Amino acid sequence: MLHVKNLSKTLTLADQPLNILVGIDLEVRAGETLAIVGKSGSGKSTLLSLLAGLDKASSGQILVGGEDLSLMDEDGRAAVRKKHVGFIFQNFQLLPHLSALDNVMLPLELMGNTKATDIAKEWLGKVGLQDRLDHQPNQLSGGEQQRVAIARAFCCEPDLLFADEPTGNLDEHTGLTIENLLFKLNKELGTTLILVTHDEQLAKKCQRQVHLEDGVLTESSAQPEQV
Amino acid sequence: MNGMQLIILSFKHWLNDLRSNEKRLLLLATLLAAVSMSMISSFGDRLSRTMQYRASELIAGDLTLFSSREVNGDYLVQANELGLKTSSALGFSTMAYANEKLQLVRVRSVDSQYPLKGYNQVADGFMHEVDENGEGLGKGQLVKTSPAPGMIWAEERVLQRLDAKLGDSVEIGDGVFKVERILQQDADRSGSLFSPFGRLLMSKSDVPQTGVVNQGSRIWYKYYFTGSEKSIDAFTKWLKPKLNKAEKLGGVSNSQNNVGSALEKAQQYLSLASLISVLLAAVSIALCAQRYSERHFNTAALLRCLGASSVQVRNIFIMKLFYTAMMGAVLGAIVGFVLHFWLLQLVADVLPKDLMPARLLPVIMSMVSAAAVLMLIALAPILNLNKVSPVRVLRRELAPKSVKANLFFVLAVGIMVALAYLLTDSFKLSVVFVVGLAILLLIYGLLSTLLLKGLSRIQFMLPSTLKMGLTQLNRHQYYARSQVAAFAFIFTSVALIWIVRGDLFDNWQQQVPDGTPNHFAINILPDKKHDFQQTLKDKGLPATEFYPMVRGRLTHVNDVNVSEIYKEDEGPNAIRRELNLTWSTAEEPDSKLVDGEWFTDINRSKVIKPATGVSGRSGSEDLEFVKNGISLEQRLAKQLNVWVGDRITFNIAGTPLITTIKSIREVQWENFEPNFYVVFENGVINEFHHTYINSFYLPVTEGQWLIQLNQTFKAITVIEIDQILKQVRDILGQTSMAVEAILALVLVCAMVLMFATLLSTLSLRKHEAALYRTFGASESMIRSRIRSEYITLSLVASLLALVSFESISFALYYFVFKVSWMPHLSLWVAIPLLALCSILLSGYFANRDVLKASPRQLLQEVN
Repeated sequence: MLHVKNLSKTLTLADQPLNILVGIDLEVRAGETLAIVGKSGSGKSTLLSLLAGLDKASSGQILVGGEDLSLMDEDGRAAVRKKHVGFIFQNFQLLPHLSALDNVMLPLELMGNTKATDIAKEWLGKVGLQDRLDHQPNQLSGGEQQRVAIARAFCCEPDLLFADEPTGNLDEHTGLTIENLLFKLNKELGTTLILVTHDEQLAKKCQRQVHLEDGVLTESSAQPEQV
Repeated sequence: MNGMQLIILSFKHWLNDLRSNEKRLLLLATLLAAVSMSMISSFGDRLSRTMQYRASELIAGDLTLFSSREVNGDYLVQANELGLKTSSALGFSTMAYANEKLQLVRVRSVDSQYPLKGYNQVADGFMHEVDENGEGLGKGQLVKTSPAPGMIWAEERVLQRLDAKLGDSVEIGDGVFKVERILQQDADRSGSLFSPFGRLLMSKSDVPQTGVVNQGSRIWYKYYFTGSEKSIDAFTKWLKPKLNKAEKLGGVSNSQNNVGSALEKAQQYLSLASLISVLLAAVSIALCAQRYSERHFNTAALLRCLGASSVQVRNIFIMKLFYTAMMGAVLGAIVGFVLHFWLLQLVADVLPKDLMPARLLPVIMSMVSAAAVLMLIALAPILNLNKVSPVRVLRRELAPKSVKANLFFVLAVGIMVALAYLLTDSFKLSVVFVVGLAILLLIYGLLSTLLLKGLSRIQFMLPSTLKMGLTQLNRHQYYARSQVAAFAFIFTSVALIWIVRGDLFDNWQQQVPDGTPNHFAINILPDKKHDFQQTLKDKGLPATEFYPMVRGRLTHVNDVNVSEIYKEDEGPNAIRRELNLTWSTAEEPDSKLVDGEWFTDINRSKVIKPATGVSGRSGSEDLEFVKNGISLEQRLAKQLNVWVGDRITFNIAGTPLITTIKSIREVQWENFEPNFYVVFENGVINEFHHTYINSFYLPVTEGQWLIQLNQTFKAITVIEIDQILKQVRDILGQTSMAVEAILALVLVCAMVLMFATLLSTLSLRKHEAALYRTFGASESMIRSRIRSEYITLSLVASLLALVSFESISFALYYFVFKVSWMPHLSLWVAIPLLALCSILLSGYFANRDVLKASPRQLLQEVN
């Protein structure tokens, strides 16, 4: 599903080159769950943004579903995202002036899906928010907002789902509920999940874990916990 | 996603966006621009059309066509087809004969439709006559009719010279007519009041009977048209290209009367006010759009992250902007249209009852202009949104690179020039305004930075409130700069509109101040001058100038006969008729000199003796030459293409006289004083036959005394101009009220937009207040910080506003209004005070939430 070859990202700060990611190689099979673990500042978010085609690498190759992101411009990568990719963010990234339903409908509408309303309602039902369709983000709790974000991520049935610290802003109990929901839906749909976290417990729920330290990726052999 | 899906998606987002402050402000600013434009332009449009209509009463129609020949019959056919009412007059000068006396008269023969507009002022007796109850028979009445066939209406002076009275017969050519009424004022007042010949009105059907109009007779035709504005416009458009050189079209706006001038200035002012309100709105739109764009970086990033292409993101935001433009412009234009009725109601007492109906044109124009202003100004910051990187969903600090706004700036300036031209109809004013504004905004940006930096350096010298305020402002330099610039612009506009209004009123006041002479006395012979002067003095009337008048014809320009320079009917009217020449006895000119010098030796000895004998003198050996003998009126000088030093030849009672021009004067034709094209140096023409003209103010209650005056000085003609003065005063009064109402409206606009500007930094303020409150700051401390910031803002903005206002007013006075400029010291106190009060007041309302809400609420809102 995802092939990464010799990926590097270098920034220039105060005329000095700063290596964020160095020579990353990674292969993720379809349906696999992968956790990218690392400390703050290790380059996790940068790696996620490159894998998801949100940003352009300094060198190397990223193939998503066989399509080479490194050869594409921003609009080309956006088309790949629309076709293959879903996102869940730490800070939910819901549009504040849209209702829960409209937020979920957004990616469907961008795809031109004419049944956007029905599909979005169905997914909000699956995450247990069938009674909160017209509520706006500021009328929902953090856990509820993340459920909306999960419904938004899964409603397009993406091949590849990226989750950036999905429980980072939630308390332990709510976080656990969200984790379970995420893995349950992921299993049902067979989506490839790439999760970025510094939470070792959450990482253990994935089939594979890779560690990122100072921009260098190392594979961990730990077996996933039963979810 | 197809086009329709995009339209629906952006509409849904737009509806949801309406809950955000920025979108509401953007909408409010557009709405206000449209309200202001629609209200002012609808109001102004009706008022100016009505004023034009009223002023058209002074030229007896909406449109006149003057010609020295009978015009093509097609003209009248076309006028009829367009539904215009027409009336025609035939004019000529001839001798009237009665009681064995002859008198040269200027006859206007009219049809039964005359006057189409306005009134003839007539009387049933001479000024000095009284009825059995002691009432003056000379009291004027306004009538809408004209003389019936066989009847004539003549001026009192004509009848006096003919020794005739009402009911007597007067011969004109071969015809005999009965004097039915005394003509005091002709409905068509375009002719000179001071014509040496008396006027006479008769029926056009009687002209053949007189036999005076033959092949080669010197006659003129005048056609009057009236009808709907649309038809008049259509007719004018149709007619203009067909006119030959002998045909001159006249309307209210180009009539050189006092009303035309007042009207033009009032219209310019109304347009200026409306332009300023649009500019105020435009600045607010720019501020709100910038903030709106920044607040939507996250939305744009998320849309990109979810796979929207940059074109889709751009289109979604442009569509949203379009919806805002449509809603604001349409709603605003309708509200403005409705409000203009309220505005009319407000000044109903002074408005004429027959107000012209409202039109849709100003409403549609306002709608389109407001939408265009929003689209063009807000487009640059909105286009920044499709440059937002999708990585922003992970790293919020990433801001897009700014779109190069130069093209949009040029477009915005372009649309502003177009709007200004549309509103003011003056290219010069538009350019002065818009270029001034563009330069101003650039200077404001620069100066506000310099001012804030400069003040920070001398902080230690400032009072603690200003010190704290400066610290606050410097913390958010970008916003501080924008706010200083916006407020400076608001106060500059308010100051400008206030001062221009004052000058306008002064100008009107000067035009017809209380005690403006309401009577002219003409034909005062030199031997009667002293007695007449003494009589006025005995009555206690203020002494006014007695101007000598000598009749003379301008015959040559630089030794070339004017008939060789100009073909028949071409060139200025002044060369086709005798002019009233005067001489100066004053050491200073009574009007502004454009070039040359005034006569230095007012007691010059060179005197030209009038020729004796019937034929006068001719031949170059007899020509009298006087160097630097005259001062010429500017417009005539321009028409004759002459300048100081050029030679002009006059023929005065058969005596040719060559002189060179010593100076060119600018004459205020709209004042109610005798004005002359040509002023000779004292002494040069004093020996020629001359009479005097004098004007004086007599209260209307003194009718009886006027009768006595007429009885005592029967040879002197006294002309009453009370009616004209009243008409001018009425129109100026109405216009002044409208100007006041519109000024109030601009002030309201400025206040609301100021409020909007303050609200645009509300979220920043909330964030700061939340943190301060969390760290334990009291409400009063936050209040005092905000207050000190606003006080400093007011003072810095006022300083900037005053400097720029003085510069603009200098440019306006010097280049547009052409009057001398003085610094407006009173505003140096008024503007800072106004700024303090208004900013603190709007700041209080804008920040109520910040002070009242708990830190938790504030933090939640900010996040």
